[in-house]
Amino acid sequence: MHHVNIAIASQPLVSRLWYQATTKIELLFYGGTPGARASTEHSSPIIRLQIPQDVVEIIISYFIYDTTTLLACSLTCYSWYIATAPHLHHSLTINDRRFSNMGYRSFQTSYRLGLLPLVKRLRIRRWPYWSEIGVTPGRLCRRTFHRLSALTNLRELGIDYLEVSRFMPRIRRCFGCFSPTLLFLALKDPRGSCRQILYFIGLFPNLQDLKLQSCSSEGEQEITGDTGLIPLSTPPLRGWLTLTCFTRVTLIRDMITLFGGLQFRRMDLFRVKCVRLLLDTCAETVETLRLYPTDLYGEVFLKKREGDELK
Amino acid sequence: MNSSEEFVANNRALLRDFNLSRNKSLRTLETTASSIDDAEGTASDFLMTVLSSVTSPVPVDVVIIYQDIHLEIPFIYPPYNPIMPIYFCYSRRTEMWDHSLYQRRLEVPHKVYSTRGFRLVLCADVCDRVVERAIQGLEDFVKAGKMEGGSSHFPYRPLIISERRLLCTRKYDSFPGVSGDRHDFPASAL
Repeated sequence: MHHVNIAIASQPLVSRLWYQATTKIELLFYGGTPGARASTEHSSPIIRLQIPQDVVEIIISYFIYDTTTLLACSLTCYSWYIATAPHLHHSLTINDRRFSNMGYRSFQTSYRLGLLPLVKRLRIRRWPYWSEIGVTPGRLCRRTFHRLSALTNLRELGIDYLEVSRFMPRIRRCFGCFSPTLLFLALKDPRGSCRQILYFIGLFPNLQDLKLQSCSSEGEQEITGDTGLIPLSTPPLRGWLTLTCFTRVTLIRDMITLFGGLQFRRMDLFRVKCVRLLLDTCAETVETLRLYPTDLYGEVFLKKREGDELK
Repeated sequence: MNSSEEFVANNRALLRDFNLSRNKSLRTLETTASSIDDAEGTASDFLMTVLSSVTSPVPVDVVIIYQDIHLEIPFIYPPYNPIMPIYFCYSRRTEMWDHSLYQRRLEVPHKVYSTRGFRLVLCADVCDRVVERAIQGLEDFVKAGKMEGGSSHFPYRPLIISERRLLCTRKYDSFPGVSGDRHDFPASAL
């Protein structure tokens, strides 16, 4: 598998990397300039037993897609373990119920071993998945919240069935620890008013990508008293917007109002009720658009058109 | 009224939602092979309508995304081993590519091309360990199309690219925002 990864890269790049690596190795073992090898062959070489960490990291970077090789490398020596650990612990999934399965145990173990700062992606799932109750403060125990603050480099966060309203008004205390680093947020069927959901999104001032899935207006519970709820920040939101089965038009309208417009560069829209509004709002910025010919709105129209033609 | 304008006029209802005439910076229109398959005959109509609304003179790329299943790369789960992490294990494919299926998929961009010129991009969105196989499969598919006079209609040879996917280390890890429990995800963000 090793040679496959290298073979995919372009030949000049591989040659350059190989030359750089061999030059560094020559410098390590023979000292002086790269050409000093010949002159030092008969004298005692300057031997350093440890390869510099940056060279190890370059080597390891070829195997980031190959988990088995990464694991084998991590068992070789301490410096290789240090280089492989970030690639092995980049993602973590936990369930909202303690002791529900191994997901929680791996979270505990990662915390105990001090590996949580290496995690870049976190997903919090509802357990059991058929439960009516979403992720609430009661289901995520206090100890879990305390440990979430150890995820100091988290870039991507996904939460299924987050009961935003149940976390109010202390939601900042629970998830505010991700504010400095979070770039991507994915919410599946979030529960709460539009203002509450936007307040949650506004907790992350560096957020670029947003994904909202199964957001329907049927479960929408607007609270008259929360109109004064203003997001704490205006995230840039200039990356991907992914909406799937999304009919909460009010949420998008409020987002445009409270965040002063939208500037997404890429949009992935499937079964979205407010496509027109989104395309117009991001007319100046959107560069990539992902659409699906099976989209409910397009499909309904096309079927109707076929019917009209038959008439 | 030329044919393109006539087509737009006939598809006003669809254009109420998917009108791109105001989008001045659009460079890429993406869709998936699975949605083309599922939409059957309506896929080309949908894409023609959407593309016909693009008024920007900037060239547009149309990207069709193929995942493992569309490239006929089957996967199996190995028996759970507590020492090794769980990962997709791709079995060796020995049967021939179903060229007729690919030919049907290429027909859609062929039809759409008459509405508005674009560069066709075929993207293999697969796990890293099968990237080479997927790319080779797409190249075979384009060659087969060309032999039958299919892709020769394009002034450009379709560009073939790949999106590499990383595997999760732990059994229960999965990608945020994805339904179900996919154990791989794009590496581009890391």
